[in-house]
Parts: sequence; C-alpha cells; structure tokens
Amino acid sequence: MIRGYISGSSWIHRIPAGVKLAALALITWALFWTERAVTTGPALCMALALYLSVGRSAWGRLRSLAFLLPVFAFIALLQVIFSGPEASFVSVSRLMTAYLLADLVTATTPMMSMIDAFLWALRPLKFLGVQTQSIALAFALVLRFVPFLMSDWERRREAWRARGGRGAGWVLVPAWIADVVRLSDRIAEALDARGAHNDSRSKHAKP
Amino acid sequence: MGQTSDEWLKLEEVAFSRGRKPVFQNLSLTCSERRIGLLGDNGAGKSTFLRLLNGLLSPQQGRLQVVGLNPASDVSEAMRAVGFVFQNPDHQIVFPTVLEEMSFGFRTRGLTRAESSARALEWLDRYGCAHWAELSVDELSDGQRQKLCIMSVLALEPSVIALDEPFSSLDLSTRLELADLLARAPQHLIIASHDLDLLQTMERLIWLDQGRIIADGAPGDVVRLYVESCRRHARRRGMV
Repeated sequence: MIRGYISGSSWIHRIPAGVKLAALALITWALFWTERAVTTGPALCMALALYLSVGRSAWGRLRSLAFLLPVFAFIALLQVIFSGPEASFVSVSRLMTAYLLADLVTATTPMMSMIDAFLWALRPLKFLGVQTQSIALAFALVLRFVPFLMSDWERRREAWRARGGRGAGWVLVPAWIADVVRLSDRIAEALDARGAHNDSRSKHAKP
Repeated sequence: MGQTSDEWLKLEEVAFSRGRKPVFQNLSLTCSERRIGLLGDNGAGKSTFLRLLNGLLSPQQGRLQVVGLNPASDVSEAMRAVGFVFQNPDHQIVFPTVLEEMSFGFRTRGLTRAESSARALEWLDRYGCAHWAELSVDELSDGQRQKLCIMSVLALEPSVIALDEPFSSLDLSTRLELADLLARAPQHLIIASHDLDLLQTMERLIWLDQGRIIADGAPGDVVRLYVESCRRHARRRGMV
C-alpha cells in the first residue's frame, strides 16, 4: 500500500476517502474469512478490473508490481506442498487482492483526504487525551517517506554493485539505518520549522 | 535590548556549543540590510547561525533578537516570523502532491482544508505554477521541488526567510530562476551558501570561520578576501 498518489479524475478518485477506506477494511476482512477459490478468484479479477479502470497511469503501476511475483510464487509453492493446490490458490489470490485494493486506495486518494478520514475515525480517542493530529501526521510521513527510503536503498545497492559488490547487499544495512535515523532528524527539524508542532519548544534539536 | 526600526537582527555576546564543542563564543552582530549572505567553510557555523534565528536552536548565553522577537523564548512566534528553506527539498516536503504540500503550512496556521487549498492555489498561480497543483512531488525535478519549498515558505508571508544552502545541487538556469524569485521577495533574506555568484548579489556578506566573524561588509570585498584565503590554504596543502 505504501506508494505514491496518481493524480487524476477517474471515478475511483471521486469516491470519498472514508468510503474507500471502509470498503477496503470490509473487503479485506471478508476475504480472510473465505476458504473457497470460487470466491477469491473472482475477487482478484474484480480488483484487477478496478485497478485497470483508473487509466493508463495505473497500468504502468501494475507492471511495477512484478517485483512481488517471486514472493507470491514462494508462498504458493509452500502452500501447495503443505496444504494442496486449492488452498495455495486461495491464499495467494487473497493476498494479491488485498494488496491491489490497498494500493488502489493509496493511488487514488489525496493524502489530505486520507488524513481527514483518519481524523474523523480517531475522534473518540480525542476524549482520552490522545493527540490525533500527531497520529495522522505520522501516517502521512510513513506514506511519504517509505517509498523514498526504498528508492534510497536501491540507489545505495546499485552503487555497491557498480563497485563490484555481490549478493543481496546485507552489509549495507547498518549504514542505511544510520542514514534513516539522520533523515528522521532532518524531517523533524523541517516540521518544527514549519510549525507542525503546536507546543512552544523544538522537540529534537536542542543543544 | 534596544532595536532601531531598521535593525531587524541583533546578537549580543551569543554563545552556543554542541556538546563540549563551542560553535559560537561571544558573537555580536547587528543587521539592518534586507539581503544578507553567510559565507564560510563547512563547519563554520552558518547552519547553526540560521537555526538560532527561528528557535530551532537556542543560544546558551547572550541575547538574540529577530524582528523584535527573542527566538529562545518566543519560539512559536519566531517560527512564524522566520521561514526556513533547507538544503535538501526531500527533507522538507511531507505531502505527495504539490497542492497538499503548499496547503500544509496554512493547515498548521489553523485554516480549514478548503481555505488552505484555495490559498495554496492562489499562491501557485501567483508564481505561474497553478498547473503543478495536482502533480505528484515525485514528478518534479530537483529544482522544481526546491522552488516548491521556497513558494511554500513565501506563501506564509514571514518577515524573514533563512535559507541554508538552497541551491547546492541545482543547475545554473534553475539557480538563476530561484535567485530571481528570492530577489523579488519583500522579506528580509539571510542565505548561507557556497555559491559566490549568489552571495555577490547580497547587500552585506559575513564570512564565518569556526564561529567567529572573519570579515563583514560589501560582498565583493568579502568574497575577494575569502577566495585569497582559500587559495593560500590550498597552496599550503600543495593542491595548487
């Protein structure tokens, strides 16, 4: 679900964020209660059709999901071995449907609408003294920066390979984590500078 | 601390340390010019200086006043009065689309979503970028992302804009475009940079080294002294 928004005005773009999020929650919940291929198979087809109805930009995005195929193939293989072919199909089609629908919601919903929907849903927590604005902002930051960090990881791995590195590049993980920590500090500073925290003291950059 | 109508920035014996390492000791300065440049090697204290202005950092000693505010005690007001543009736009941009990013500043000022979007569109239009509104920020070039950051700050109409090496990774034409955008801004500007061409356009240039002011005055004179000093250092290291 963690990828960017596709600007557009398709019919799915026009559905209110709260409705889309509620439908996503309901369908995902229902999917995990069914054990029959006659239900999960058509659900996957429906998710694909919805995805494609958004337009050309979504088709390109669909192609970029190919990197997930080995993961799904691995899950399918394990399921075939331990539970049989039908259970394998049900598991994988269920996961693919949930992923596609979640990605579709992210792709067609502006962040502000999503945040407003979350704030509405989190309203009861306000009575318990929870700062729901902070939760919503944290949600926005995750959606914005996870793709950024993933592409940063890819750039780092590419540089490593260009210099003769081999394998998955696990040796790069500590340096990458250090970069993530530095990045989070800079983002917090930028948020402070933009007045995102309403208290009167910068939270992170004290001497 | 007295401040005349033209003096918008005043430091009196300001001291600031990071851990045990002093960055500034007894730094005193008064500024009335609208365009001020900060020059110096990496680690000279330029970025720290800018962060003191809007309360991101607080001095441990001395007194500081920016447009009549003390950023150490009036942090919220100082952050409203001093807009900040960071070196890397990717650290500043929080939202996935241009309109949402522009709107964010207005939301933090208490405007509703509809009001924020309307104001953001108005400002995008003012800079000829209304067609960017629905674009994903990932579709923008580095220069366009930095322009978005600058527009986001300008839209909030602060009294001062502090820019920390804002053009460091941009091509020449983008630099010229953004420099022109800033030149037209009515605010007081204070820019930390290594870009000597940009710094030459300032009204006053301050050369910092290890937290001390080495030279302060007309940009042409300060740049000449700085370049001569850099050449001497390079010669000593056997690089030139």
